[in-house]
Amino acid sequence: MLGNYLIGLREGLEAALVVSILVAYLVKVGRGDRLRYVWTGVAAAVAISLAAGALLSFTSASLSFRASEIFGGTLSIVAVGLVTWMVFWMRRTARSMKGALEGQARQALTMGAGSLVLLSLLAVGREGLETAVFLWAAVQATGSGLAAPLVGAALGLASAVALAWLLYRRAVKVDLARFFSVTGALLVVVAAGVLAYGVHDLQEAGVLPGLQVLAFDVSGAVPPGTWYATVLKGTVNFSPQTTVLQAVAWVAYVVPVALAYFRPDRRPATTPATPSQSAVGAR
Amino acid sequence: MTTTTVRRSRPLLLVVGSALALSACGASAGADGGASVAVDSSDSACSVARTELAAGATELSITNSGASTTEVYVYDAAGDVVGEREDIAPGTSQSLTVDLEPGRYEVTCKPGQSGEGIATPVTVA
Repeated sequence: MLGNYLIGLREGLEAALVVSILVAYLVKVGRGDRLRYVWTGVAAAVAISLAAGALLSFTSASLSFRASEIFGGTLSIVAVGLVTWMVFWMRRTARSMKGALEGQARQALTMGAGSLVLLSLLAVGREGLETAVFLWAAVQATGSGLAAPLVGAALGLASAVALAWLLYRRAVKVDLARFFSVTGALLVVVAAGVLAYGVHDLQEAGVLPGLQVLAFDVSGAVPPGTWYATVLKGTVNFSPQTTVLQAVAWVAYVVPVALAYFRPDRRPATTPATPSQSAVGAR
Repeated sequence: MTTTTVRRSRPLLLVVGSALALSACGASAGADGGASVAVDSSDSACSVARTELAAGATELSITNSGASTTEVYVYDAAGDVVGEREDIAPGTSQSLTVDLEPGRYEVTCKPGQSGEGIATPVTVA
């Protein structure tokens, strides 16, 4: 049961983390009315993944190894683009909230409905097919009289959702400035991990070279079957065996994006209410 | 959705659509009477029901009878990965379909998802 639990936990964390930050963000900027778009995206991702997974598991339809790696890799890279865009949306909101923006201007800074649906859809769906195939396999095992796989998988997913919910609860209580800086940093690291994951998929597909050229191998210290390896993989996509290209992509993403996100404002976001605010915005 | 959102989403939808289309090229609906071979991956063994196979689309029906999550790779003679199936949880079965040309291959099970794994040689006529 542990094996199934850990996979459920990992897949659940990978899907739920970005969504919980997105939900916390919407609640904190007072746009809880937009939450339904997030749920729409999540529901669509779950439905599509389960349907496609069922197709692959119960019919003789199959997806070639190369094609599924290209699919997963491409979706992951697209997801990185969207999360990066989300990170900079949050930065603009943080800047505007430092000033005295009210009403209409603040409204304009909330992400559009379509963007919210797409972001949630991709955050949950990019690994949805893999998760669905794993779940259907657990369901099939029940058919042969073995309940442990499905129970383990369900508990793992439930644990991930609970953790994501706890994160949300913590995030909404924290003050705005801290919220934006912490979640911003978290999202940058998470996105870098997704990028590294996408690079690995494309290496497996042969689209990118260097599958066997490892930057490091710490699977002795962090064996894939342990809970800590699982949590690391599910949150920041840390692989005990990381290729050089993955490491390069990770650094090449984190450094410029973190610098851009945390650079001081070049000018005040609005006419400052107090002189101290213009000091923050000055070059 | 506003028209601006739709306009802005179009390039994105194009990329996602292309990803789907590309993978559809790699999808096949139904093996045409292709072979099915049972693979049992346990904690210490990787048993392939038949090690002399016919060329063509072959479905490996993999069962994990061990205690840890396993993955199964099919390597060709050059050491390249022809197919793989990861995250096969204990007690479950998953299938992996590979297109095999005549030659020598290795079906490798990696219980615990790390290390060299247990290789079983397979010949395709």
